[in-house]
Amino acid sequence: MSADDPHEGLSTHMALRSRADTTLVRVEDEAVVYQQDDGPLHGINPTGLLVWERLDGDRTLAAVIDELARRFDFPRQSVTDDVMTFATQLLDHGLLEVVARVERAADESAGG
Amino acid sequence: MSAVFTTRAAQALGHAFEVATPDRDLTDYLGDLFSGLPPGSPDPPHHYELSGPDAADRWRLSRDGLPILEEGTPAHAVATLLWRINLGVIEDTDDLVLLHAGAVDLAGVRVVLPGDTEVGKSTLVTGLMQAGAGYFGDEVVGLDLDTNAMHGYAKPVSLDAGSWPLFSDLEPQVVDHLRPFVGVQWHVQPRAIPGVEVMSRARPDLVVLPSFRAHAPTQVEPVRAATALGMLAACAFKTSITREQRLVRLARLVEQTPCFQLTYGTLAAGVDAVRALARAVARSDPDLGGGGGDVG
Repeated sequence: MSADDPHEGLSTHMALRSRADTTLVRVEDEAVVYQQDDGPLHGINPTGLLVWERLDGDRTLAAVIDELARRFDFPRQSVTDDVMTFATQLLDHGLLEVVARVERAADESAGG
Repeated sequence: MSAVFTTRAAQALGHAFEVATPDRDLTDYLGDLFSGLPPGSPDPPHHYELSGPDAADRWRLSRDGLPILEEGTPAHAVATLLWRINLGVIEDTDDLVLLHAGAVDLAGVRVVLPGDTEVGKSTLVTGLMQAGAGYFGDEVVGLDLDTNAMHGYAKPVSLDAGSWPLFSDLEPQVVDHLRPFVGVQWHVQPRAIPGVEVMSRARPDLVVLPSFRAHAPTQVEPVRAATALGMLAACAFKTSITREQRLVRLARLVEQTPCFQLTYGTLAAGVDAVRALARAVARSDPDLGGGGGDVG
């Protein structure tokens, strides 16, 4: 991972989803998630949970970012930073997997 | 000498047992330690037997005829017996989520104090009992999977030597020939503390995660839900209940119960802080403070 790009290898044109062997347990507006029965427990804050719920393998990260930025009226760049950081962390922990990488033009037209 | 004196059967959560020894006084001493537990049905499934001494004053401990300890000092034999009963509770209780925690009742507010062995749970629980709290347990509490109930395990409180100066009035009083059995830890029957009521089942009202750090200033902080769940999960025993079931039950506890992290530097400060939290919870819930949280 380079110092310039903390999300190296991850692109907003990717679609991600939780791995099949992960389990998420909700608690209030937060959650914990773990992989397999003996993996470490990871806490997910309310913002992270909003992102997690949208990582369904169909929507690209760009589409998730757009939806959250619109819904909460947050600056798109700020939402992008949060989503990419969250997704990078969960990928590093092996909790997410990349399902598809869509073409930029198609993603931009779909994501608005 | 053959073992002929047997305690009454006791029910420790899912673990039903009795203990036999060759010495009536020793059996009475052990039976008194377990007197906070509900009686078990006659002929319980688990039978512990302390036998000895041999020529070197060593004792042997078995469970259901299988050796646990071949040669131990009297104090080691008793400590091993109590430890193995704790293990038996964890092994045999398959319908409750078991939490490594103490639990007390402070004027109707039921406080769960989860923590690992080194956080000073037993010392804090004992201090709270001396301040008038009722006793659910100092080591393990069970959480019902289907209801809000917390089940106590009113074992004898185990106090390490570091706590003895704080509780000199609780030094076990035994006949002379039993003194060798009291050594590594003080095992204190909860009712030996004046005014203490032993509790068995209730709805928990407050979770306090204690951490003793000598001379540290008192700090009380609310804990975020996912953090609290992670901390509770770290205190949960692995049993036949799946990890997901455990977490879902603990999540319900977090959602229904205020959770705080407490750092304290003296026993008096810890006791004061827990009592203050319990008073605050009682003020915020008019059903509490008068024993209104009982479950059937």
